[in-house]
Amino acid sequence: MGKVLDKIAYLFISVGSIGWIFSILVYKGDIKYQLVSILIIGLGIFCAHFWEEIFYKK
Amino acid sequence: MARRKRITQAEEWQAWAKRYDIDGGVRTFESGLSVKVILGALFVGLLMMPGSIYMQLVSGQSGAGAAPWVAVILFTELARRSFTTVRRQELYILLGLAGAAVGAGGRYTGYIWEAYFIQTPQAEAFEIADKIPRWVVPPRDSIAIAQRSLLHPDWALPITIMLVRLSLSQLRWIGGPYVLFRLTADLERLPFPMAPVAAQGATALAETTGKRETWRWRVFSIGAMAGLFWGALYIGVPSITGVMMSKPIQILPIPFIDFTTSIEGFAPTGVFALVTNFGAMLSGFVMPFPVIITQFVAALFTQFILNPQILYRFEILHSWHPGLDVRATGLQNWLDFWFSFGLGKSFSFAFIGLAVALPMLLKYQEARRKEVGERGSLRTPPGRGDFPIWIAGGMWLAGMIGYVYLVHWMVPNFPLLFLLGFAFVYTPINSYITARTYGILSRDLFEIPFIREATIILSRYEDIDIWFAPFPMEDYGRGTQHWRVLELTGTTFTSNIAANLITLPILLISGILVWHFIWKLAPIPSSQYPFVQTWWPINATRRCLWITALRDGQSQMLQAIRGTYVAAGFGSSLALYGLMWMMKMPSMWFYGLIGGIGADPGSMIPLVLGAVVGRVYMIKRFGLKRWYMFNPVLAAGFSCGTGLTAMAIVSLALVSKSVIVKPF
Repeated sequence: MGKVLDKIAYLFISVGSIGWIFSILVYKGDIKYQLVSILIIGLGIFCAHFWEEIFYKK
Repeated sequence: MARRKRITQAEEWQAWAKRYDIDGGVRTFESGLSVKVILGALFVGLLMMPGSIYMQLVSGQSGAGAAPWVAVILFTELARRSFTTVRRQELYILLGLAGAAVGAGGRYTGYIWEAYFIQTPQAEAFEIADKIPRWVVPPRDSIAIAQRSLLHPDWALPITIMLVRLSLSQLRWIGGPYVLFRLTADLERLPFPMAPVAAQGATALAETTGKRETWRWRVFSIGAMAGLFWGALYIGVPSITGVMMSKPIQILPIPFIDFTTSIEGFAPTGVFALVTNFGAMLSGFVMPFPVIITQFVAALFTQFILNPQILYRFEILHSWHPGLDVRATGLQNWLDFWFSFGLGKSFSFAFIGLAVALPMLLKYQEARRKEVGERGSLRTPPGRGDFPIWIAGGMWLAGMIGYVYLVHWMVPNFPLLFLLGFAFVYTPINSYITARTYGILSRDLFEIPFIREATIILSRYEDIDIWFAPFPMEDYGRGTQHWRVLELTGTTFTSNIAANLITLPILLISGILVWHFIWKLAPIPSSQYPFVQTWWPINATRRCLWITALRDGQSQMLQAIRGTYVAAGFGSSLALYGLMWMMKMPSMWFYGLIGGIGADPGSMIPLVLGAVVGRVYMIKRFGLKRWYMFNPVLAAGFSCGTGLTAMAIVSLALVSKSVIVKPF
């Protein structure tokens, strides 16, 4: 579960960030595309911290 | 190449907190309340209050940090000459009371501001001046304002309301943080990593009444001498020449030297105003190095690349024209873009705070279930001065009900549901989250920006009285740490509460008298007070823009909020945070970058100088541990030095302006 959450976090943050840059450069900051990207990055950040606090072991 | 090791945010912040944590705590409790402590605090506090107010008006810094140290110097010296010692509990109470005494004037600052605001051309032009409620400030034509007098019957209503609010706030601010302290420190055993730092101050000072002098006196004296020199140069010269001449001489312009028009050729819309308060270098010594440097880099990037080369070229910053100074350029840029972007940026802070706090909550819940014997108990240590938690809860409830009733009386047409929602839903939840983040990280991570303003706009309430009324929206989380510091210094809770309540009436009376006298000296703002003369007109314009946000449907403020830019601020901040997390970079870099974006790099030069000197020379010279031990004492000595200079100068100014020259 921990390993999967880690991967999901990486995936969501990467896809969301690329999507956000795309929404700025291609769609001239269209708010709908920006919000979708923000939602994806946000989910990624939540996954990242859940993984970090609950599953991550040094 | 070695892979970068992941450090969680909690570990990273606690590692920083440990650098400042020098002494351990104690678990035996004694009262810190005594007549000599109260007299000492009042003597020093009231002596320094005028200086603190004066400094606030001249340079924007109150220097209130000096007062507790002055109290302690006097106190410990008296103790040493009397062949006695001072307990750490007494010193901790003394520190708190002296600080409260110096800051007591702050309660009346708002009245001077309101008396200025009601007379401003901005309030007149936006048709606000004649609509400001009577419970805020007397009318414009009142003799109290014309004569600059706080001791006039026209102030009776605003001051009575302040007293009622103060009484109710005592109930809330004792009850609320105490309940949260019991939940987070006693029940959940959160560490409160920065609390030992505050406790260490009193502990260190108590040592000085012993037989042997420690390094602390030497470091404190160095800081104090530097502060005296700087205070004389920065505040002394303009204040003394201001007494003798019509226009004060400033060796260093206060508060900044504006280079904005000089850079407009190659960086149009960029701002650069070099802040001349080099006392801020001491903050640079103390603050985390990565935060300061990344903040500075982001600010340089904003003003020299982002603003002129991108936002200006794409006509996002469209209101600027050549010749504008830092204040006008800043205001235009703020309205065009940075206000909206800043909103989104702040939302990202709140969001990230929530994302960090929620998993911690789950983790601690789990740990609590495993270790029932250690955690999950509400039993208190003997002699700590606790009182039943239901009494604290009852105090908070009574204080909050009274507060909501008062606000409803002030703005009877504003929807009561909003007030109740903020008082009984938002405040407890927000406070609990902050208390938890303070307990773990010693930081407030969850803060929704402009929530009050947004609520007023969303409520479609168009009368302007709501903009002047208090709002039942509070955050007790930060105050929770104070109880933990009391516990660590071994000071009984009841002695702290009693000391504050005993001194409160004296401070209220002396505060109004001091402000009354200072207001009589010269109009505020005026050339005597360069800081307020620079900033208050800008603040008045911004306030007018907020207040008129709904009135005519063409509000500049509402037009300034652009969804696309808010989303850009939110999205770019989250993307940056996420990418930095993926690259295992410290979260401090993120907070620095986001803090610096949109800011003026000139305002950070003293901080950067302090950080670089600390890093390049001081740490190498003294070692990391010793340098972090020296820092708080040095900073306290410096603020003491500047505070003493300000006090001496204000006394000269007060005497000189009280003299009436007769023509014969």
